[in-house]
Amino acid sequence: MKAKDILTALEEALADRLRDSEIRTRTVGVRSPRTIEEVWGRIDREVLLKAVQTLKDLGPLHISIISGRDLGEEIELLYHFTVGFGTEDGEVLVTLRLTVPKSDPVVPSLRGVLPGAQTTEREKIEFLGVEFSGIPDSRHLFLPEDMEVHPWRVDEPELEKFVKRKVKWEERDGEQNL
Amino acid sequence: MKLSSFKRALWVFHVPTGSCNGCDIEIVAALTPRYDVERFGIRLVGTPRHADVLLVTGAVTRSMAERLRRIYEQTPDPKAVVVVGSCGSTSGVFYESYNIVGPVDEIIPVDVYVPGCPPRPEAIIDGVVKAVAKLEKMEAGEPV
Amino acid sequence: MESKTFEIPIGPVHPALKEQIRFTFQVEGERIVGVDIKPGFAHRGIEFMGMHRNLVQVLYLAERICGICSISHPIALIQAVENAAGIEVPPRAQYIRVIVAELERIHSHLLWAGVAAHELGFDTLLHLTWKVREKVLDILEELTGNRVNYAIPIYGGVRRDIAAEQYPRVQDMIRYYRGLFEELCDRFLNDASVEARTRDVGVLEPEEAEELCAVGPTARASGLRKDVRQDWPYLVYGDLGVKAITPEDYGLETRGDVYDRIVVRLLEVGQSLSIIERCLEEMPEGEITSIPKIPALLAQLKKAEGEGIGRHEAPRGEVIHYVRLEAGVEAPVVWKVKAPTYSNLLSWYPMFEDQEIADIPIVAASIDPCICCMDRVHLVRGGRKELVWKEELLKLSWEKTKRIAGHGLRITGANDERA
Repeated sequence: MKAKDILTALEEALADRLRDSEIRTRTVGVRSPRTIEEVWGRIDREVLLKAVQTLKDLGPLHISIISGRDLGEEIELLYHFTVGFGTEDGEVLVTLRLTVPKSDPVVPSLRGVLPGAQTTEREKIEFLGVEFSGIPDSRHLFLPEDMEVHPWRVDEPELEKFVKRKVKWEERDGEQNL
Repeated sequence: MKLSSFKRALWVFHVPTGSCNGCDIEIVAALTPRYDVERFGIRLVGTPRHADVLLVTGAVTRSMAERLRRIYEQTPDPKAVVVVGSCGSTSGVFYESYNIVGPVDEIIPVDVYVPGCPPRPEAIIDGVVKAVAKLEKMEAGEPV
Repeated sequence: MESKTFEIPIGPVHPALKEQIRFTFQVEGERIVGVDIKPGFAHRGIEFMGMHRNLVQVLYLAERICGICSISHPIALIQAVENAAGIEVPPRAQYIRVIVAELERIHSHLLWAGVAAHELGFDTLLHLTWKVREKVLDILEELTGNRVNYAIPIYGGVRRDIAAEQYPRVQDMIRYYRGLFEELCDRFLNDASVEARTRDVGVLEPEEAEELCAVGPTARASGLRKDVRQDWPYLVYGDLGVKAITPEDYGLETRGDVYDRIVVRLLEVGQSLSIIERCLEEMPEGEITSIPKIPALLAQLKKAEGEGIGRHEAPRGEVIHYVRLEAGVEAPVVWKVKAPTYSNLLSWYPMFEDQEIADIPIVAASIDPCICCMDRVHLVRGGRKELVWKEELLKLSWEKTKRIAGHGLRITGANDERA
């Protein structure tokens, strides 16, 4: 699988809904160096399912993780896919960026196209407060059930209550001759 | 003290409270043939109600704090608590997180600390032996 | 239909060792019809902590995400940061990283083999495998200074070199394991009781493995040739030509059950031995790190801007780290960790369908779960709730082995005093 083919397929399917696309290259290896290529791009949430279907048609699709970031007014999600495992040197990392406003943090769930994404979607619900429409199970996965704060958001004053500051040993145990 | 001077077999219950498993595999390695503590009568049991010594590992997470307290209460006296690893003794690298409620001695009283990340099986055995010495003193009514 | 809640300890297991993850099974008689899984008890908030510290402190934190796959997380994290900041790694350092990573794979698979044997009731195999494992821990201690948590990789290279005097000892270890390999395979794969307990148990079909994005030996045992070392060559794996191993390489038809997962892991031990041998031969001389002084490294990382992804094939599967750096900020602005058990969590659901309660321990352990890696778990379902402790489940598993073996199998368990 070549990064160029993936990018062309995405451009054809999404037209102008795909922006800031690029291919990043690196060299790896000592005796027989080879180039690793990664595809990066930005899409809108309306075309997410179409993009994932396009990638799935190109080759075996695997989702590694969705990373996320709170940008203040918006939340940015990065979907890290890999296309084309199973062939030597044939897998390409594809990262798609997606931004949603905090006032309306809804993104379509990938449950139909790629069921393996459910764990990472559930994690984003509890950590960033994103909603995935159509997800069958949106319970807390890692955090305690009663925890309402979103730890990765930058504007959570309640979070300070949960964070236990470093223990000052001299204050706690007093001066001791050890 | 020589290990051959134990008055009876020693039963140990292991409580992981959100550890990285490093200390846990060193505890299990202490049972395997190279270190083999079972020949001294030290063995792991499956329930705190049979235990003499509690081996606690890990920096305590929020969900495990209550359980740790309950397990401590279920263990019959006389008992000794041995904390294995730096995260249990002082939180180690896991400080200032929203889900960690502190080193083990903020939840239950601790008798022996075995620092290390992870401590070697020999150090863990040494810690258990010190706990046993303390227990025997407690049973004899001596001050510890 | 009644609902039984099982609190199952998984992980480096002995009757009292419990990794916290809660399963709820819905059972009809002895058969499982539904399962619900809740992790979260070992969640320590590692990414949150990492985003408030400088990058060298983050490295020490990443090492302690898991004690068994202790070098996998640092290798992925370091790749991510090196890609983001544009730091080069000298060739000798890349070979050393691969050698320690493969030594870790050997120790992890042997650990798992002992755990699997214990779940089935063969405590003697547990003790044998863990005794055999001490040899690789000795070599790791010789090369790195510690049995667990090696602290070998650093941004730009490695921290310790392998001296020429140490090569013969590593080669001794390789010979030792090669000599034992036949015996290990024989005891695990040619034993009638092991086969009876693991054949067609906990099956994961290839289509399911692909849809649920399974990774590591779990995916390979179902026939998917998915291995980060083969598909996305990083460090020197491309030069070594590492190939994914599936049960076909042992001459078997792939069925995706627990037996196949044992096959894949044992074969990978053999593969790792060959990789270490080749690395020792091909490793060039040279420096081991491109930025020797830590303050200079920290200064360079503080000025760096960019984002990077690092991946590694840990003993359990694919580890991926994503890092975003901003100029002038010491801490990474975004740090995302994915451990392999995270991807394999969903494959537990199809594996448990239609299994017996006595098979729960071995099926749960067959994906080699590392909950501390994944958690950064509790639940309920209707009907009649019944709490069952791990010891009862283990006893059920051991009794099933006795029934199947037919003859008097010496099962050593630590809880016989309860009877």
